[in-house]
Amino acid sequence: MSSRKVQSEVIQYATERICMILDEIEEFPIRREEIRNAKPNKLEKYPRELLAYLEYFNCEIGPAMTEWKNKIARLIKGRDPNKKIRLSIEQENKILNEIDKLKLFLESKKIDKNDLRHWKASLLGRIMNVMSNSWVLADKYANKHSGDIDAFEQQVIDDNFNNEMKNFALEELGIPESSLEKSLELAKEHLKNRIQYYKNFKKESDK
Amino acid sequence: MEQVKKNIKDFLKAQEINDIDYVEILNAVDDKLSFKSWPVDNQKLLFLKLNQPVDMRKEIFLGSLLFNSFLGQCSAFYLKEEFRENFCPIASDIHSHYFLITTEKPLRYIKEIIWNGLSETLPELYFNEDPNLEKGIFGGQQKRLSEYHNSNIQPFPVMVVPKEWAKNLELSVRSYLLKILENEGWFEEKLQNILANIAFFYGTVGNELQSPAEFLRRLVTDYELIDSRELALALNFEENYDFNDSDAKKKIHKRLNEKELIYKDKLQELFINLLQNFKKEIEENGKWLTPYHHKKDNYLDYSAIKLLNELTRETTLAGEALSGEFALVGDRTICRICGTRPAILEGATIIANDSFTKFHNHSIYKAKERICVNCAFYAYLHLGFAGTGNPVKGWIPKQENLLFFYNSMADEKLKELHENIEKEIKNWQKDQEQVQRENSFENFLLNEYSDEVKNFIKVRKVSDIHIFKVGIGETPLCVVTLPNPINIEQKRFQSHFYILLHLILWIRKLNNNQGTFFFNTLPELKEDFSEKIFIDNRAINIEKAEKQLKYLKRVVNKFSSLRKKDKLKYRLHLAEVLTEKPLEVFSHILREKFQSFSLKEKTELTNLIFMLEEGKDEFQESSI
Repeated sequence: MSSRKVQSEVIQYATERICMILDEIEEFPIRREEIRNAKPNKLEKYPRELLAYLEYFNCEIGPAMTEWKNKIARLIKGRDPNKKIRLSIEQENKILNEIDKLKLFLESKKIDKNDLRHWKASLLGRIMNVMSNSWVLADKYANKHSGDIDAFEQQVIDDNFNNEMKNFALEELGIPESSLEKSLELAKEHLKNRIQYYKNFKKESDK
Repeated sequence: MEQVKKNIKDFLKAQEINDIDYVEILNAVDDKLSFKSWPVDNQKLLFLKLNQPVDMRKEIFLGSLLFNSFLGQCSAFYLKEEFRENFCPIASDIHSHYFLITTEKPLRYIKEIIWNGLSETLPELYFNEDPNLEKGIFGGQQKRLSEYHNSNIQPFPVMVVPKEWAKNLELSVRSYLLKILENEGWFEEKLQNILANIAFFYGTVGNELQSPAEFLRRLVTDYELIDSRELALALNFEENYDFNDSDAKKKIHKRLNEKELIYKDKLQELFINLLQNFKKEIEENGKWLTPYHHKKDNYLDYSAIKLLNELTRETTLAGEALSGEFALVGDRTICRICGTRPAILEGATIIANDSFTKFHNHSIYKAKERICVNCAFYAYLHLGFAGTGNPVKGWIPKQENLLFFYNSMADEKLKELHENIEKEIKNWQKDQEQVQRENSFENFLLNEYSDEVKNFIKVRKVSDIHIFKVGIGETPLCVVTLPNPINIEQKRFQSHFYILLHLILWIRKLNNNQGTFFFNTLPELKEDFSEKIFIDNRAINIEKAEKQLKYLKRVVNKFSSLRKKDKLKYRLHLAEVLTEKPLEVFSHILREKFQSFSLKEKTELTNLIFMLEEGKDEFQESSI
């Protein structure tokens, strides 16, 4: 009897989306010191909650995602007294839309207990892969263009980012060629999410 | 495979056979047919299979394999002598040998040639000291079987030798002893060995066998083969010492352990004289021909022909039985080892250790007969090949220690491979000394091969590695015996996929990157098998596997740098779990040691891990 293979690609894509959503609502650390002193729990907290809902609802995507959406909505609406994140209404809507998109995607691929177990065990590794690549690449870009406000325009980033970072990603970070494009796209998205921080980024030597 | 193809093509061309395609013959090998014939002018082209099923019980596996190889190679030798250019050996797998013959003679004639050849060569298999690789005889049996130091438990399997060969056995033992006595270091290293051998083979009663000192005393007093004055001088006693004294035995025994008091040269002379006296007595009246074993009927009560019949009972040529005799099990006890053939011989510790009590003891627990002739003979061959070591806990190569490979190479090349391996291991052992001095484990990492393989091998004896040929043809089947695991930890090494892969890749590299290797898999010769490795019935792509190992090694090195104690164990464990579940293990470790790595290190690690995850299933191409 052969067991079904784990749907690694689906899980990876879902993790990437979750990371980007959480990154946009500034749940993830961004300053160097924050990253250095971060605990795994900081990164895993909300994704784990989603997995817990999935487990509770027996791998049914609909109710689990609705619950999770509630949670995130409460976070960004500022009803949680500990969180004081204020986003524009457009941004809020965009994030909620993205969660809906993720829900649709996951509903099209069925997830079973086997997948869930694997996802739970490999979660931190996957998050680290998405975030650390993005952090280092965005950091490098911001370092290079520190003080140059034009370089942080949306259009300029779209045009230049891939070409400038390609060699660095391949040679120094050792990102495999098969996933290079995806990693660069994610890093670009991260850069755009946190554009305010990177705009005011000072060179390492200045700190 | 290319070589086999070319071989068959050349043969067909030389025989001027044009209507038969070589693919037909290859297919016959592939389908394991036992017989096929094609008409050629007035003759026939015969495709024949000589089949002798190898016993898979681990105590006798190697012996059984050796006998099979002997059957194939010896038959091929005599057929070649008879048919010359009309005979062509094709290939072998573990149970069978395939060959082609063009002849007008009937199959019965071929069978006769093989039978006569085997019965002529069987004594050589028992007693030849020099190797005769053409006939599949490795030689040196006597030397390896006689390396014991005690004769209080039966140290030599006399029960496997037919009674009519008692003279050959005695001659073989005597020449072995004389050979040792000529060597320089005999007194320091081999004195106990010589005494035990003399007592075991020439003693007449039980207590003489068990105590060489008692036997020496009796040789002086009762049998008068040694001059009392000579022995007294050699052992540094008084010149007129009375060996009838009640304390004499104890005194001799004590003195034999005080080597500094013995006169070495005199003792040597005494031993040589004694052996010559034995020889004279045997030639004159046959009195001293292994008296104890004759009296107790320890020899195998078979004639040589009956023995061969028994051994080749399961052998078939072209689907027909070679010997033509069949076993009648009836209500006899079943052999404790193989569980199929009737038990005829009593058990002995020297053969198969304590396996008698473990398996197939449902029949009659206290029955005297415990083992069949075949199993005893296989054990004898095995011990003669690998050495007895400690008779109680001798090392037994098992299936899981044997690595099979097909290679187009001559005997000298096999020797070269063996020498290469020995040289490399000796270099490592030197390295190890240096590293201990400098106390840096990291020195190892600079080298090309993985540390795990080195650690796996450096603790073993070099002599544990044997490389030999068991098949016929231009691409013979060869075997490497991997070192024997000593404890549980090392057993784990051996069952470790990561280590095995490294070890096999290493041996392959020394073999000029050639050969198809099989581990825990029945070796087969098939077209698409070249350039692959088989482990546990999984086909492995060498290129991809090497790449995967490279990544794995980098990750393991990174993580193990966090550890201070038990580094090697930790590395092994890591490698083992990382090959199976890279991402999960990585996440687990990261949760514990999140702050031990800088951001850049973490980034590199995650990328490596993702590459591992990607290639996890790719390098294993398929399973048989």
